[in-house]
Amino acid sequence: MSMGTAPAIPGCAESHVTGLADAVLAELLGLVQQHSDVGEESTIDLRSLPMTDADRELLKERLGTGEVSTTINAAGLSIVEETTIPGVWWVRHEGGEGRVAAEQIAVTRIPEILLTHPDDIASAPEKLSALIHSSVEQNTPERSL
Amino acid sequence: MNRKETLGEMMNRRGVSRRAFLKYASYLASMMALPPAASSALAQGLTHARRQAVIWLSFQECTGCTESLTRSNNPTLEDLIFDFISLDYHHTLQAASGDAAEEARHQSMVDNKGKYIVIVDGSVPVKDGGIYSTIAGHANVDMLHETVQDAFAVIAVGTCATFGGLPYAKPNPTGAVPISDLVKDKPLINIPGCPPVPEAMTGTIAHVLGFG
Repeated sequence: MSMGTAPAIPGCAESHVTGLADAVLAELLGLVQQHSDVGEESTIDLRSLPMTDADRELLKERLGTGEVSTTINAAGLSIVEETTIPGVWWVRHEGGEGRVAAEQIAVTRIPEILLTHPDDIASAPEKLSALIHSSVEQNTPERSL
Repeated sequence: MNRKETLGEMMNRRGVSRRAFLKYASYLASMMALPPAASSALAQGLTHARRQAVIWLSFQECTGCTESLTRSNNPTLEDLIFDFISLDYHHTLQAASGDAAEEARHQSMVDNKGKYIVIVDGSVPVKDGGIYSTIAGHANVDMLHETVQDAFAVIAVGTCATFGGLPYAKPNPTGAVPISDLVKDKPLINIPGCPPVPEAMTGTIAHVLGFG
């Protein structure tokens, strides 16, 4: 469980396909239906499931990659991709040395982490003002005596 | 840093975005087997929390617990916890030594009365008045009682602090005991392991900060 270093299933090779990918797809169908019917968002934490690396690769292959693919640089790299199923996103957070810290499937219009937080927006005018002030200072020609 | 400042304000001042909070919370929620939906609540809790004063006491131990917690080489997701706490006293990590170090511990106890967390690694010798391990002339058992009296909670990390560990093994010449034998009137969280999984330590601290 720790950063993906321990085997998901004791005694089971990470290359072994257990069938859990199909089980997740079945669960996902219910969540996608809920999202479509009433707009309810949900998340599946893949690292909390006893899936092998091969299970996750198979699941990712089955879901494919859709139109949107983006990276986030915040305390390490994160990769957020919409799958070929609209509103189903594959979110992968990396920690130190590229280790996987969290991996989720999010059923939502857009994953929360892609949205700019209101507190960050609140700091935007001050940051832009500082940037303008700084560039004005740099571009002001010095007067010759 | 201003102790009245929230973690969110402090991190914003340092250029760390809310996305980093959310990512950290997702990582912790996954690691601690919390429901995925808990990550937003945890991120929100961390954002509004104050920086937590921590006093770390090391008694009969090998420093492996500290090594485990600090082994990461680069500032990463896992290291964010060090920005969330004010480590006011720690033998191995603090720059101050001697009287200045002890003064830092006492000052933190006064400034954060009833609010600071005491982390303990190592067992405590109690035989013969606890003379087998002393710090600044004080027996470990006396330092523990003095420090814990105004603490908010105590976290015992490592097998020695939680169950006695190697010093507790027969014939136990120093009369070593785990922290749970000595701390009875404060919330006590045991995180065993030799050393404990670092994420278990950081996750526990973050959980206390985020959810109280």
